[in-house]
Amino acid sequence: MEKNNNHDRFFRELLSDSGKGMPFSDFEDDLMAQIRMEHEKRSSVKRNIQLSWLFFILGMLSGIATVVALSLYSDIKSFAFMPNNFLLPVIIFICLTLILFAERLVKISFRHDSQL
Amino acid sequence: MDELYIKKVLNGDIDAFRYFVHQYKDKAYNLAFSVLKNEFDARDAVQEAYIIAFRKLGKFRGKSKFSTWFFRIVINEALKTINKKAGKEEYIADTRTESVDPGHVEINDTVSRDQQKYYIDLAMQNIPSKEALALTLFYIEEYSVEEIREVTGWTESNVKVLLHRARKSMYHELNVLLSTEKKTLY
Repeated sequence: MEKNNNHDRFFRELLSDSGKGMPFSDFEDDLMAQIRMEHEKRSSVKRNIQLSWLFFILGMLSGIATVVALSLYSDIKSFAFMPNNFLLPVIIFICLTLILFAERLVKISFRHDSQL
Repeated sequence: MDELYIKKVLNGDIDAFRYFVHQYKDKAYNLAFSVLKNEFDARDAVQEAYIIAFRKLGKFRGKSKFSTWFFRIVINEALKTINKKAGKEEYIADTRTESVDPGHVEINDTVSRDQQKYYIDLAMQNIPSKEALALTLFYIEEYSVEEIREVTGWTESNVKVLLHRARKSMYHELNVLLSTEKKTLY
């Protein structure tokens, strides 16, 4: 126990002058410039994510509006030339695309929010 | 005080981050330097650690002190740099760990204070990174074993073993350096 204390005292004295401290005088300014750049980058990413959400929702709404308008005002027989099983894969494709885009957007948004 | 500046930064006052840079840059540099043993690498590691801290400040929950959280990032960055550069850290062989008592290293009586600092810095550079880090945290930054455990993520027994090995390494290095010096002088 006493031996350990001697060791500790010896080392405390020995290393008391050993702390260096940052020797680069421009470190603070350089770092703050980088931090500002980082912040601007993050802000622009945030803006882009907001725009992505806006256009995603606008696209979805205009898609729904188009479908409703088509069903109300156009003659349904104009699609009669299409084979019966044509529309189903198209609908599945559109739904999958929609889900994948929504999932990616949600992921990106959460990732961004968990950071600054 | 730290909490106040954390809130300011999170509310968009980027210049408030300068407080953390000013407050912790020296300690962070000491830690990084003890691991990396190179001024430029240490600066880069500290810089990267600050950028990571800025990015992840929103995730800091205040369970520990900001300094503990930040120094952990600094140490991780420094160790990452070492792993990138050299693969694995090289430990000096066990032959150097023969028992040497403090009384056998009479550094204070034989050399001036400037020389003493020079030899200590040199010895610190010659011992393995983790041991130098343990010594820096325990004797220079005056952290307790528990605090070292928090900052480094090592276990308590690991910290104690590293400190023990680090002391032996320092005795050995100082003895080698001083005996070499005596040989060149006489």
